[in-house]
Amino acid sequence: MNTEVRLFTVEGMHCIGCVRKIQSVAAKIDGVVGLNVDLGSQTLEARVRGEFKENDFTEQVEGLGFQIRSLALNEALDDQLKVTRQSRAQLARLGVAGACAGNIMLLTVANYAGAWETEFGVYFNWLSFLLYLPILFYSAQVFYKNSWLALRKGKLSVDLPIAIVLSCGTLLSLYHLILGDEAVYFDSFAMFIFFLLSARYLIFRLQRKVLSPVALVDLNPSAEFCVEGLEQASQMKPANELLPDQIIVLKRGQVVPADAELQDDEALVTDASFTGESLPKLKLKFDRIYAGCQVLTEGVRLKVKMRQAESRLMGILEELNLKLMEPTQMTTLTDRGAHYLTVGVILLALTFLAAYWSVDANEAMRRVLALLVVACPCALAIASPLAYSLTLKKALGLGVLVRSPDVLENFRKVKTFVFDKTGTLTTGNIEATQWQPPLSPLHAEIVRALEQGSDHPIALAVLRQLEQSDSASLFLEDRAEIIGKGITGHFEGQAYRIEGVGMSLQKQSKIGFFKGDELISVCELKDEIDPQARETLDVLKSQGHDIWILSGDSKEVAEQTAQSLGLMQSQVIGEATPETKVNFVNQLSLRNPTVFVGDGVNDAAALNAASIGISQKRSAEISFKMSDIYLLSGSLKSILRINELAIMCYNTIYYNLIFAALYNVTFASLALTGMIDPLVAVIIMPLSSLSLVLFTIYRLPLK
Amino acid sequence: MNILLLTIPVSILLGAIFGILFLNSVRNGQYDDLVTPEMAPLSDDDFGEDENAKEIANANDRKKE
Repeated sequence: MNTEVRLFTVEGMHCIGCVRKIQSVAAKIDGVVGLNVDLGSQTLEARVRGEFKENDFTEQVEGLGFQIRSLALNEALDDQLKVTRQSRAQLARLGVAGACAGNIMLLTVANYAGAWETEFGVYFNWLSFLLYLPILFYSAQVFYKNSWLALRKGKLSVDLPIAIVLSCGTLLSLYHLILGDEAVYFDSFAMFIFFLLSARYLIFRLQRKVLSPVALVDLNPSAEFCVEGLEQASQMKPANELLPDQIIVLKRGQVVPADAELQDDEALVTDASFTGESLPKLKLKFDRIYAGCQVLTEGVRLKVKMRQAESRLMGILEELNLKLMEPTQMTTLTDRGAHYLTVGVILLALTFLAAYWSVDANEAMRRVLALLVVACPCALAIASPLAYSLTLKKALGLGVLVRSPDVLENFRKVKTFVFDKTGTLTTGNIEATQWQPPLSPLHAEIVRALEQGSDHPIALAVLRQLEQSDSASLFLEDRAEIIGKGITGHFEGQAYRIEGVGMSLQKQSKIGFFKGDELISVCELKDEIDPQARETLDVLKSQGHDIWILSGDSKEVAEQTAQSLGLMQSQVIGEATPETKVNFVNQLSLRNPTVFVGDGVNDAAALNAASIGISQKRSAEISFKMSDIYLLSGSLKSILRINELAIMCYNTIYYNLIFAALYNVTFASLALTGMIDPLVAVIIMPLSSLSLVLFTIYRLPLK
Repeated sequence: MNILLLTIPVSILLGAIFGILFLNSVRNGQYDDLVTPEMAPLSDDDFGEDENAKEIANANDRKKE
């Protein structure tokens, strides 16, 4: 029987009880033949048969109090599979290296302890060589591959010296093995590879957690849509199967799945994710409505104009995906350090070899090998990733996901912070001020009665602002909501209405309460400001950072927000399109590394353009993908904490590098003067790495 | 000392067997999820892959009836 795999993210699973609950309910649903709930990555994999209905399934799980979301199928599943495959391959390599290295050590210790003097010495060495082969050809593959990939791009990676040491050491050891000498170093190289692979695997697991799909918020409307005019009266179809010219009916709050044309006379639509404007727009018949907009009117009929894949939203997504593929310009401190160290050591080794070859070829080889082993950038290969992963883990504990280690290094250089307004500094809700002049109790009741039952954000804000009253709401005659204009009603024969005053309809920031045609009172509308915004901005300012606000909203609204946050008007740019945002951020980045904090689809390109992009929990998926840091907790203050962490991490790595440089100079000169031979070098090397690891852990304790 | 000529190959063979078993378990995904299984013993109910499969089978039977 045909089955297929569906992948979901489930938010809110905390313990085994939650997993158990979901499993027992999900198992009873038609069409489910297999279930795999993963608490770590907060995902659910279901193997399903034909009769499976996704809506039923998600409803049932939601009924248990979890938030479940279907992942845009193929892509997410592919990503997930790729990561899993990679993780398994790494673990297999590590396991093989560990098993072989352990057994090689047994044989080598026997030889050191005296077996070399017996007839078994040579036999043990050959056995070590045999056990070394899987490490050389299987476990260490990554080092050759990475250094080759970097070389092809004209770069030197930290893996290159490892690959060189490995091949030189192996060849020399093999030469001695065939001659029957004692000087074989398979044990040290085996341990070396095992340590390196362990460190990398741990870091990979950490990053995998960071990149797991739960962090992705699905913007693609994956829900099913009601299509008119098919054989049955109405039929539900998933978003990606909608065809042009089909008529779909959307419920209130649904997201438009594909670019479409309005068929009703009028409808309220919000495109906050495109423009950042929080007020809904009135669309008229035959207006174009883009995918990604949210409808605020019940039962809106739309004629699909394009398939979902061709819609404007998808265009934006695709453009940004192309940008993602470009190699990044950033080089980390470790990479630069490794670059100089590698070039230096290789040049030194070649020069020495050329100069000393005529004196004593064998001794020259021996000393150069000691040099290569002792100067191997272990500190960089182990301690730096450790510092990064400890920092990433600490950040995770604070509810902050950091995309890649480069970000941590760049944070230090940041001078400028640019904030998007809507949804970042403000909550995206509208806040109504007190009515001026104050309303009489009767008028307040009438306002309440007028606004009650409306879903318009302004109405909700006004209702929130009015104090609760115990009396039953008044009865109004012919209460009517005129979409895009206001609300009217009669009370005891007298006409009352609420409508926008002053500015144009779209940009209204004031509403008035009218009795007949007489204006009784006015109420101002403001964006509700995030409670942590003020404090965060104040601290950033006191640290000497430049702060800018970019907003797709009107200039007046943006300036008002800036004022209440204690910023100057010159630091605000209103009416910013996605393009102006990108240009502005690009210009700032040219001068100084710049952080951009945003959330909407309209911010995605700017997030990508900025040196560091920060997005929040309520962000659109594309913004998440474009950003380097993701605030899971949604609290702005975590920006301050991550700043501190980044500086701490950078300093630790910096000290490590200085230590490594001093150590390398000392021991390289000892190696070249013949004071230490390869065997001693192999013992000193792990000691130096160990001290760096301990220092890193001491500097960045997890608790 | 000649016994070493036998015991060492045997120990390497044993090592190889465990190595292959390990690779197999990696391939079967035993180490993919390190969070859920470790909490399983804390559950009051019986818990695990088999239980899960049984539950699905039971549910399917009930549907048929």
